[in-house]
Amino acid sequence: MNPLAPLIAASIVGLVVLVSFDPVSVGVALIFEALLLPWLRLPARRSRQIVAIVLISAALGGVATALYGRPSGETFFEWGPVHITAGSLELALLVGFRIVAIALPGALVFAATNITALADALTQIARLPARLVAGALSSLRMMSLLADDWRVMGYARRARGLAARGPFQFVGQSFALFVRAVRRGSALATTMEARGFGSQSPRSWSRPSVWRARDGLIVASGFVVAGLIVSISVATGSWELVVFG
Amino acid sequence: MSVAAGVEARGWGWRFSGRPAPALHDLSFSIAPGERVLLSGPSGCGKSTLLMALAGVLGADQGDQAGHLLINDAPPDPGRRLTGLVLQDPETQVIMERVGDDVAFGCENFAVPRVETWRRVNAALASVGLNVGLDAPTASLSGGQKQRLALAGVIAFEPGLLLLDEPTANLDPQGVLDVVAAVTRVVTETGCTLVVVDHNPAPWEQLLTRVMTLDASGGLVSETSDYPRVRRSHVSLRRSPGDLVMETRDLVIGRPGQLAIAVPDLQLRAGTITALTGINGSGKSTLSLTLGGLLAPQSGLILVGEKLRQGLRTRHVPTPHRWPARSLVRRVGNVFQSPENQFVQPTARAEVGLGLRVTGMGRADVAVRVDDRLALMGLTELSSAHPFTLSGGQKRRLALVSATVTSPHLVVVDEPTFGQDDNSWEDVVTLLDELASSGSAVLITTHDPDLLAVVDNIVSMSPGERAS
Repeated sequence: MNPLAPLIAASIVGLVVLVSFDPVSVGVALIFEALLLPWLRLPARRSRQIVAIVLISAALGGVATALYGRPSGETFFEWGPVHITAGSLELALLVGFRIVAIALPGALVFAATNITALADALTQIARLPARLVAGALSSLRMMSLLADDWRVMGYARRARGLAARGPFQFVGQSFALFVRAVRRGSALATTMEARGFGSQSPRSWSRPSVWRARDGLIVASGFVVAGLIVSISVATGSWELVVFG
Repeated sequence: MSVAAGVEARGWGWRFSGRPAPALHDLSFSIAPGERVLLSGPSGCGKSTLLMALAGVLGADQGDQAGHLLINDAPPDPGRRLTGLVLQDPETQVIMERVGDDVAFGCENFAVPRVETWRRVNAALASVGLNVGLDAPTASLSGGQKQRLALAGVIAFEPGLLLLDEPTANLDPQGVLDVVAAVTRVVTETGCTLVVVDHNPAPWEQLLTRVMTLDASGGLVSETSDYPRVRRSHVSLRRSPGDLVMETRDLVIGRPGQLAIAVPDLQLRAGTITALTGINGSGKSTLSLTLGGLLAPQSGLILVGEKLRQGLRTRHVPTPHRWPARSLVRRVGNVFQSPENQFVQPTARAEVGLGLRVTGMGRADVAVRVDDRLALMGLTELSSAHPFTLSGGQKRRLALVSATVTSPHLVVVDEPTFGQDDNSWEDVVTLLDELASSGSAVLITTHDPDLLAVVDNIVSMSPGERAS
């Protein structure tokens, strides 16, 4: 299976939920996403982590909408700009579920994707520039190193007598991490350049990325799910487009 | 296979942008194809810069050059596929997620056809003796394995000139032997030209045919007929064991989420130097962090001696990782394995003075003490340089003086002598000796046999001592 196929399919579904703004399409999308989750064969721990992150962001979005969303209906609480009403609560639920329905498929599919295979597909099938893709690939790998750097920097500041925890420490350490990331990045770039990366001459691909008929079917199934979401929502008379601005 | 490449320098020099003096100047030398050269010279003289220039990765935006530097009669350019560069930090040389893909990366850039690429990947991995499988995750390799991976990734595109910049840095003795054996096999098989920089030249002696030496100002390449042998004559001050500073009982250590390691009971006394040895990954650095008050132990006791506990709140005493930072910096001097990790100031002078300032010393006294410490480590001329711009050996000496400037009762140093030449080795060992003689307990981790010869106690950490 080409890693691009499920990503494209997930994006199509996500896009449809993004432009719709009604409970039925969000609900139908969530049902399909729940059905497809086991098919990704993600380790349980990993999928729990991702679901947790998405749920937290959804909850934050929901709470903000409940507090500051367009007021309508019965008022439950009012204090300055905070205005909780029946309407804003309803809106909050919808916003929360929308965030889940939009973010979850992409995040889960991305987590189940082998990044190297995706990079191969992006350069060979989507024909994106190799410099861009290889750069992004190596920077993703460096993210895990940055987590270590952050911890060691905490030790360093404490060891040097600077450890008053607070916003200043956070800002100082963030800047130091940024400097370190740049230094690491340029060292890695030196390694890559020394191995001939970035020269103008043509490149070969050691891992072929192929697009088979079943990859087309996966993308097609993304369209089918998107179509079903819209059809069910329209059939029940609740279809509504999101109003921008 | 590859055709060996030759090097020619005619009055060549390099000045980094923003630096008044050139890093290298007036270099004239030639290296014939197939020669195997040790590039030596004092810490900070520009050896790494010369290797980067030969690899063609010193960009015109980074500085100005003078004269000519030629590889096979043309300026260095990595796109010519003539040079392969291996650097000292294993972390910044891993490019891909899987071993096979990482080695294939260079071949892809030089448009080697697919079947030929994989043949070369397998041959290169066999040459460097890395038999972990093509699909093994690169993140799981040890430091020594990562260095051999970097070497494989370079020889797979068959360069005629191999450039190695401190490739055995931070490796345990077995890792050093494995890397040297891998390079020896590769050079013998391909006949390529080799230039090596290594602070520890002894393991390379059988392989190398010539020694070139840069002087301290980055000029004048001289030829040395004698292979450099480490001459270390250290006269110990009178150290005598004093009171217990720190003691451990049934200590189990480990970073959160990593394997727990049980530690043999330790006694650190004032006036002594204790060395921790053991292979990479045996927990030496984790133990240093734990005793240095930076990492919480998983279980067991850390008992703190009278001097160390003075002025601390009673409830803090048994848990050094909870001591307030200012109390910690007065009592414990921590020096990390990577000195860059501990620099938090913009100049060497500010870096050394920091510990004194946070503990409330007056400005004039700070200046006097800082000058004295910088001179002791031979860093006076670099006092206004940014710590990151120093050489590897200079960074380590700066980290060491800035962490011990407050004369703490306990000094914990991870690999103090790595990257030092003979002179700066003496400076480092003299400082450790001075600290112990004036009443500190000194704990170091090291693989350096010369350093092990001058310590008082040696504690061996073995990877078998994992707690269940």
